[in-house]
Amino acid sequence: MSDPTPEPPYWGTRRVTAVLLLFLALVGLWLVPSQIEVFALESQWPDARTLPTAYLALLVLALLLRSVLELRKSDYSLGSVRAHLRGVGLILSLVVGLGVMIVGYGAAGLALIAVLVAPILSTGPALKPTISALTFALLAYALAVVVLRIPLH
Amino acid sequence: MLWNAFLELLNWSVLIASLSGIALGIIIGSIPGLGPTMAIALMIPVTFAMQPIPAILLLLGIYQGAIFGGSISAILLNVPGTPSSAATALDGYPMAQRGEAMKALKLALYASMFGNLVSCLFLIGLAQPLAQFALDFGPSELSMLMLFALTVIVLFGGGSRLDALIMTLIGGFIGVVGLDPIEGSNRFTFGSFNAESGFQLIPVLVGLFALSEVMAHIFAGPDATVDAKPVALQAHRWSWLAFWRMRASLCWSSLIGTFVGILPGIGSTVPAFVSYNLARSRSKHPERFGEGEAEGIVAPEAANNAVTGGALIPTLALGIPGDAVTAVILGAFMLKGLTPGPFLFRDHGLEMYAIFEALFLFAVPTVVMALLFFKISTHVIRIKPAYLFPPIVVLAVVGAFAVNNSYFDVGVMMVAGVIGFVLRQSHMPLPPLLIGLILGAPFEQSVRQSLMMSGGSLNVFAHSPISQGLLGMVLLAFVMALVMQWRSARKV
Repeated sequence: MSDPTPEPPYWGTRRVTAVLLLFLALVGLWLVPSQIEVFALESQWPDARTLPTAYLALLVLALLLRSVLELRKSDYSLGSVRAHLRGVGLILSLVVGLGVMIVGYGAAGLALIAVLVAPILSTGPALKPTISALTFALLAYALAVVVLRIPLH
Repeated sequence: MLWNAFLELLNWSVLIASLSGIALGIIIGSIPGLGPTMAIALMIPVTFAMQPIPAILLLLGIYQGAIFGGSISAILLNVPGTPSSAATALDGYPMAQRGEAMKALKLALYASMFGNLVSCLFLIGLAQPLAQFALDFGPSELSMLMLFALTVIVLFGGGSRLDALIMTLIGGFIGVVGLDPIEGSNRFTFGSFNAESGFQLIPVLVGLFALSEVMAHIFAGPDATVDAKPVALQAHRWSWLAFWRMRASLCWSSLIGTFVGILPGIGSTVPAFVSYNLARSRSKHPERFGEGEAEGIVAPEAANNAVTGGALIPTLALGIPGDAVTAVILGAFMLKGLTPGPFLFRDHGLEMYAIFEALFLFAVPTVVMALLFFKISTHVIRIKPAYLFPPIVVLAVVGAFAVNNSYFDVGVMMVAGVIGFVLRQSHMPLPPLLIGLILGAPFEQSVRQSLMMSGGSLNVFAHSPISQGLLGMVLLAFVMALVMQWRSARKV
């Protein structure tokens, strides 16, 4: 007997994102005085704080309104732990590769990114995709440095 | 001017760039999951060493090619290569299943080119006069114009209006990070020197549209990989007479695509479906729609391709992007020193007319290359993500770095990628965020300049006939949205 279709969750991506955005917008509003200095002598309405404050205040209102309107609605699933781990794997690959590039090894950094990302995306054996990604990364590096003169090293 | 502009096109670098752009666009558009926005964002760094005309034509070639290319997988796999090709799949795939895949592809190709040509004529005819008219705009008129653009994006961009408003506000807020344009004070830079110049457009774009797409694919896992078998291609005898009989659908769809393209933020998916529905309602055999009817392919394809020229009109003449793709193209224009807006045609008339003429002439190489590509398309559209996405990640890193040779921008790209991914998973629309980001800073600047000139009086926004007209359009947009809401509520 097959499993019944799971009930759509109440706490899903939309609600979690809305709460996160609401929190960030409120923190933003709280930080406005410390993050935006207004010079008293030149101050005239509207000043440097006016529009950022308006954006954040409207964002808070819009998010609260949406929370009310979607109060009884079900949400999209947050996804499995495995799916999240794959996403984290991609970001970690980028962070590691970037770290190597910042130290001064551009080619090695790009190659590392390609080698780490390809297996995450592979459904079967990862050797061929990894070799293909590595080749592409080294070609892209050569093109960037030699032809486009981008100082990636 | 027109002849001199044409001579500019007879340059090897221009020809190679244009042909490469079209070929790349067709290939990328035909692969499900990739789209013109991502492709153009990733290719911008390649244009750094190029002259403005070939650089822009490379990107516009990708744009035109990709919008058409999206129909290939829609017809052969029933999986639209781009969202705007979803309407094409409704009749394209059933026709292909009937053994007429080549006919469906050719219908899509020629309808696309028709839509392109019509919208190019509008682009050539309207962009320069509109820019000329906009030379009279002061800060208050510009504020009203941008308010109108943002209002249209929120009200008619499709999906939830509240979501579009939230995304526009987020984009607008991100746009104000950096040095204040009038007082010069730091805003939300958290002491970072790199953040003082604000977030560069290209790294944000690459993160939002390329990295987040890869993350979404990784998150979806192997089950989400399209593993359908494409329909086989068989030779087909093309009839121009049958195509001519669909001229009314072609013309209406092209006009709808061009007009909707001019409106900011709506994109090419809405006009494709509107045209499809119009063609069905005008047809003598509406029951055949959905079962492989030729007009069901021709109408959406003419419409979604006509958007390309229409969307470029406000982008180039006013500096207001029509959709996400033209927002990326706007960024590319700025990088090449061709700042879109009223002064573009005055300062770079030759380049602009060369670009317009090339867009018009793109139809010929697109047809030739597409006909050649059809034969190998069944293989290309099935490229596995494991081969496709790692190069995209590599290009995203190189592209973000290349803008300023700065690893800070690579970090911005990564953060934008994560934010874009989270927002995608929450089914929030990304184009309003992007357009809010682009218009946020200039909108603030013109609002503040207007209010400073008027001593804080809001009357400044309605003092001239142009401002009054634009304010009237903003109010009209609200009224239309309310009427549409009321009508849809009555239907339910």
